[in-house]
Amino acid sequence: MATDKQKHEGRVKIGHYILGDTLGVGTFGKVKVGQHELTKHQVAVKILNRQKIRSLDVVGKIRREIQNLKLFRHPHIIKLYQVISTPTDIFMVMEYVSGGELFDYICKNGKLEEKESRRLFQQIISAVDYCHRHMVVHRDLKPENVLLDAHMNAKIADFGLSNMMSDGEFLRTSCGSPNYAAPEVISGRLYAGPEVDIWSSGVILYALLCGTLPFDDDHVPTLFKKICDGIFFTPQYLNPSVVSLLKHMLQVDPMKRATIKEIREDDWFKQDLPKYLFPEDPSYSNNMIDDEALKEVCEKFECTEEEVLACIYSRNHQDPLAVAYHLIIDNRRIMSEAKDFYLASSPPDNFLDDVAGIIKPHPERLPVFVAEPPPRSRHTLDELNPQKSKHQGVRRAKWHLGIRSQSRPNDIMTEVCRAMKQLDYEWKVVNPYYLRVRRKNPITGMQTKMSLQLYQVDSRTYLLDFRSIDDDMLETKSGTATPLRSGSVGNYRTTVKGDVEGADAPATPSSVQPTKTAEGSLGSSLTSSIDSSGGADNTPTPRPGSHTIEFFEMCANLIKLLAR
Amino acid sequence: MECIPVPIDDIESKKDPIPEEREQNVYTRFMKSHRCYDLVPTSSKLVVFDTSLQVKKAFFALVSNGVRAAPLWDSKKQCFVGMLTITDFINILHRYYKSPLVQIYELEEHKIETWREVYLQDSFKPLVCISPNASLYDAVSSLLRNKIHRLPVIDPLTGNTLYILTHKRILKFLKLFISEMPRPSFLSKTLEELNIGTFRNIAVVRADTPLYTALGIFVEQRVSALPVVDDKGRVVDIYSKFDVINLAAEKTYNNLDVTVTKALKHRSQCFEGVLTCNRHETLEAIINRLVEAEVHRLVVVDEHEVVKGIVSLSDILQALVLPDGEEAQTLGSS
Repeated sequence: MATDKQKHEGRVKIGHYILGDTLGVGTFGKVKVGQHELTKHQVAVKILNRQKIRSLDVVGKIRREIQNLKLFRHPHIIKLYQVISTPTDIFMVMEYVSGGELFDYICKNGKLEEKESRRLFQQIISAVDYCHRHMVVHRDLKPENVLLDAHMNAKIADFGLSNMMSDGEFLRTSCGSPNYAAPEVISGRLYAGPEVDIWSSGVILYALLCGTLPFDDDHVPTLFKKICDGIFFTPQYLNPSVVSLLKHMLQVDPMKRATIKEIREDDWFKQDLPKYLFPEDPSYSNNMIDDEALKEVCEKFECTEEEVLACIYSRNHQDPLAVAYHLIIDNRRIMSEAKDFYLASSPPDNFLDDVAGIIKPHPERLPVFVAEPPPRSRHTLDELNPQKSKHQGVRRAKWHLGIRSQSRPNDIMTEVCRAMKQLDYEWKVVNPYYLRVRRKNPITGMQTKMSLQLYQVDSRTYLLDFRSIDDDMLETKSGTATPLRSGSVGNYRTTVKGDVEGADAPATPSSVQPTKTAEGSLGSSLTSSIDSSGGADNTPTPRPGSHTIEFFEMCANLIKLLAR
Repeated sequence: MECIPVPIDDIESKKDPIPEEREQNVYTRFMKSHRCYDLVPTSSKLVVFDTSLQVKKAFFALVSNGVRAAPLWDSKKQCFVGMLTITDFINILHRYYKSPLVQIYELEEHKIETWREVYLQDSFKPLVCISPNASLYDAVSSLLRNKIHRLPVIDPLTGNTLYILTHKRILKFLKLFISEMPRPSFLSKTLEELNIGTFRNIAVVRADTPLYTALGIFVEQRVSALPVVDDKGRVVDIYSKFDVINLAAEKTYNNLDVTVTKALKHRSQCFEGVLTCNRHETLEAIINRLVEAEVHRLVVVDEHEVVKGIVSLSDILQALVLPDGEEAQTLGSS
């Protein structure tokens, strides 16, 4: 069986790495330590269950973004070496650091010296700046995502991962640990740009200096209020100059919040700033095209030079091709400036190459691995499309699943709730514009769940977005709560999370079962994926009905009723 | 609950005893060690019809979406109950067509469920589908045993249809890895030696055969394509079931008295000629030609281009994956 994970004396192997103990459970899945079977080189392997990111197609749509994450090279960002995908899981092989989470360090040792706080904070800001310059916003920065290496240097993990989720999805998962979330995030605004990372960095700086969180309350609505008011306690011992920086970073209004540039100009920040953290600014406007970098992009993305050049010339900096181009140039430059910093923990040279041989998935999934050139373009595996040859230029239909309205947001939600009541749907209010809805199918007896989120499109128009909550399969598999929630819950956060749910005012009995731990679902999904490589023994009984079709029916009925 | 489709079991842990001639059944083993999931594309279009949809709209929807088949969802039973394919279109046309002057009422007015009631009557069969975890071997077995061309892959965890599996895709997948596998000797044998294909009672039509007659042959003989031959029995064209959907695309289904030749006019620009082979070509050459041209069958001709037989993807898969009629024993157990 062509698979890269096999039982190795009772252990699981990913590529050449034997998986060991669990290092932690993060927002996106379990992280295990891996050791190279020959060199004993240690890595951290993040295991993402596909079902969690099921709606997004990681190897297809997001492949380029992941490709870019692999290009990220920064002394204070956890490096992603390789992504291995299997039918059930995605394994991210990453740099391993031994110092654990900054969060645990603070819990154990209390607040840090001002100087030491500044040193770590400078490293964090350098990493955040690097990512922002490469069009990636972390959006989920918190002391648990800041790891420490053996020399007490900060290493940020999970950069770019939140981008794998769309905004609505992200907002839901962030409900689990709101302490670090910026006001605009918890108030459910659609856009989360670089400013949210500045806010979170401010929270981290506060935690470093004080050993506590600036916004904390057992009562979640109160916590939300505190965050949105932006009022926090400043202990006497804090240096007044750092207090002003904190206040600038924890500005509720994102427009007034400090930018990276302003932080870098801050006097407190500038003290003892190592030069390597902020190398000379690269000039994106440089008219000289770097041929080597261009070739490398073409190779990595299997595209033509024209495509890359078009992106660069059109200043389309967010395009993955342009990002890749700039990353490659940047890497070369940083490499020469801070060489020893990463060579120390780089993976063995042959690592990237030997992964290619293991997987034998369908070539459409990973076209890079197909040895032979793809056949003529007509010969896709698509079924012959009678329309294709005739109407090649036909405009593609746009698909929307939702309702646009120019009514007032409160009126829209009232109408929606009235219609749902009529349809016998049950729902709970996560916030006034975000509902989790369920319906018990009278025929199959299955629960179909979806969420409704109201977005503002422009000054007058609102969009009610329907979203399928596709977690039945996990529940039947593991018997634990919804993956979206359990996935966002780390060990210690369980209590916080319990409060989140308790604080909700469900319109009907809550659809969320009490959370046990995230361990259960991840553990069982890992085991099942191992089992299945040998021969599946846990064949589930088929679910009656069809989740997706039932979701569509739910939407259709609601739309029909609202359209009357 | 009777309505739950029963997918064929997941890959069983039934490991083959190490065979003496490993290379002879290498493709069977390949199929047993890959899952249907491996063939499901990362992203593809799937069109599902509610059985309360009008048949005519459904066929138009097949055309406008460029798909050849769609799973049918019965919202009363809350389950998938079948597939709508071009064969249904042909059956409807053949059954209800009267003359060019009379609109086919049933096509205009029937819903899918009405059609199914009429057509299936008592012969109701549950939807044949397969779990993504089932092996390709099971998929091939199911396609051949049930004599179907569209096998929906349904995820047992969600009940969602993920993809519709075809002979074509399975053979193409095999072809992608064929060079990495040991090469069985039978690949260099000829069709004649291996006795692959159909060589008796080949259904053919002539250039002036009325379309309605051709549709009748599809319905009665259950073939998927008809070679068009001249007076000497030489192949000049081919009319396949797939060509029939063009009647829906061009809304010309009200006149089935036209000739097959006229009905084939629509694809005059992109048609590359009938793909043929002869009995002395090797199996390997045949497979390459089928996969390369992405067709479902080759017309077997002699040196004078006279039609002698048909070799289809079903024949090839049967020979490669289920030699010795191996299907009988395995299928009994699932």
